[in-house]
Amino acid sequence: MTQFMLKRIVTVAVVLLAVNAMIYGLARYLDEWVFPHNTKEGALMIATFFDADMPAQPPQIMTMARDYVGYLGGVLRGDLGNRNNTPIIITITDKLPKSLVLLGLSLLVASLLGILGGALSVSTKTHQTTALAAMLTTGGYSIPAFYFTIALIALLMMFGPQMGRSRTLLPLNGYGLDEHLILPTLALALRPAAEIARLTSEMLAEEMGKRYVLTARAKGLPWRLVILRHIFPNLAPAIVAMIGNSMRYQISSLVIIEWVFLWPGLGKTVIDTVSMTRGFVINSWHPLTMVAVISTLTLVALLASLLAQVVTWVVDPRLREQHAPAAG
Amino acid sequence: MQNNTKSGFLLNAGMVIGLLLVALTIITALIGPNIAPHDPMEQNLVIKPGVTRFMAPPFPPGTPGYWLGSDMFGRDTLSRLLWAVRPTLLMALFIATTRLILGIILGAVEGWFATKQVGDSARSLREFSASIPLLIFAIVLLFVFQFQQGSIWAFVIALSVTGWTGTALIVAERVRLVRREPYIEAARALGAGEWHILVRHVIPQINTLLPVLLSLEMGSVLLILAELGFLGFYAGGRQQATLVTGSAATMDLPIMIPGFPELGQMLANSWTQFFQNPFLTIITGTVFFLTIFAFMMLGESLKRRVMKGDWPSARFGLARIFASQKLKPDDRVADI
Repeated sequence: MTQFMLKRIVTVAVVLLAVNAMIYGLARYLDEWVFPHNTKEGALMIATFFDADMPAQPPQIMTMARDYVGYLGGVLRGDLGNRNNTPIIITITDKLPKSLVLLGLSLLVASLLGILGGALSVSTKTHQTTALAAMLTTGGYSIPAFYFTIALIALLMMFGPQMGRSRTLLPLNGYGLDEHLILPTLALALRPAAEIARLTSEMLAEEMGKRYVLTARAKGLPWRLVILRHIFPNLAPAIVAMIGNSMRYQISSLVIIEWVFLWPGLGKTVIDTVSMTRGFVINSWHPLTMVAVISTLTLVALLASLLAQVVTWVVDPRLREQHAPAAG
Repeated sequence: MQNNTKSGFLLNAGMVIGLLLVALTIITALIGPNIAPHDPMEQNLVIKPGVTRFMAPPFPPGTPGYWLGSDMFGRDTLSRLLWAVRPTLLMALFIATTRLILGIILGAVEGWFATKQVGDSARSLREFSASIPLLIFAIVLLFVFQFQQGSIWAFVIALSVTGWTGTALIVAERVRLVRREPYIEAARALGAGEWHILVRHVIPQINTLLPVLLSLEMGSVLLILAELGFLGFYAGGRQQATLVTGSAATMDLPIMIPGFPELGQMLANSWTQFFQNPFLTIITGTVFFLTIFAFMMLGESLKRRVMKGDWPSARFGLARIFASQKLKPDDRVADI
């Protein structure tokens, strides 16, 4: 067991380090050889998208490597650099919980909705998934993150200001641990819910043909109890594993949803730093912030994936037996 | 093997819908610009629908002549959409093909050398790439490249560097299964070299996967393009313009006029005007969603058939594909 955990933790650390180094290199490259420095003329030049004479120095790897080692030393001490005299670590510790709240809650909601939806879409008589369910889940999976939110926002606006009321039924943006949470969580939960529903319905349909289900039904158990007590523990590891694998897309969706709803989490910070929508960029560019934020997000994805693996390990006794054969 | 989907035919409901929608998308890409009612770049700053009525853009949907409305420069949405599907689809095809090639090569390496060092390294590389959040990495890379005359290449690189892992997983799984088949062992016993085995026996097994992989990749790529476009990263052109305000006190405002229509670009610009003209965003989003849904639906239903082993092998050709009988287990091809 400990060997399992150790190997996983080492993998997480190595991946994190690699990603951090990569982003640091990219950020420094941008900062020093692509953008002129933060002078007024430089900012103006970039704002008008001139590809002016960039200094044609080759990237100096050794200097960058030495700086990176210094940066790493700072990270170990807890110092991630400063931005406008604010330590970046404060930005991270301020915004990380907000992102985590949204992520965690949305995964919870997605699991509930997905499992319920998946269970409902399998017919107990024919042991098959309906074609309609397949379409709905594929549809849910292929909705871009923002489209659903825009549909929700437009819907709310129809029942709000355009009907003469002064505000909409649910708050459209901003941070708050109350009704502000509803819309972003729903929007973020859509895709994992669709994935979970699809997995649940497929696995349910498969399990329903097996003998132990037949036995349970022959004993007189109603379907509800059969599913809950007998089939569900077989599904749980697969569902948790799938949640862990989907963290990558979940974080991507998180970034967009945070931006649309102006939720002040880490995702919105990423977009703020590299935003290009208005055509002007530079006031918010800060390389160290970008490195820190992206590394933190990657760390969150990795840790969530690791957590999913641990939970799978705990929930599925068969995995435990494989690695520690019973004595005697 | 139990059949858990509803129909026994080779084409089920999902596949029909997917095929129809994909066909619709491709037809739009091919002949869209020819049937567009207006010039997509023509700006109409004032129109006169009635004798005494003047309208200023943005026109809402339903205005005669501008059936889906327009953007804030008066350019007809329907025409722009019809024009825009083609470049987006081409770009998505390009990116999907790159991802597919990368994924197949790396997946085959991982599956074929599954017990050796090379396979292990390929697997580690895949897991490493799969744990980097895709959108964030793409944003960073695009940000880097956009400032250096980025165009389609920026998107191709940004989306392919970590995007091949989905395909690689499926291909690796399949190759690993094929590796254990008895006919491979028999071929080796008969003296066939590794290369011959790969070409004659392994690659045809991957051929049957190709439509599935391509559809799913197109769907995923279009999804990411939609999200990137929404955030402001698109491959279309921009023109620099200046909005001149009449008063001497305020500065002239440099603005970007969206250029040649492309779906991601239309999304990006519609979002900035969302509260004045929500219809543009909704309509563009719907079009994007339908294209994504088309490819995903096709890919998913194809995948369901292939994974259950109901799909005829490459040797059987078109005749079997259009036959409406389910293959029996003995019909599976296993030749040397």
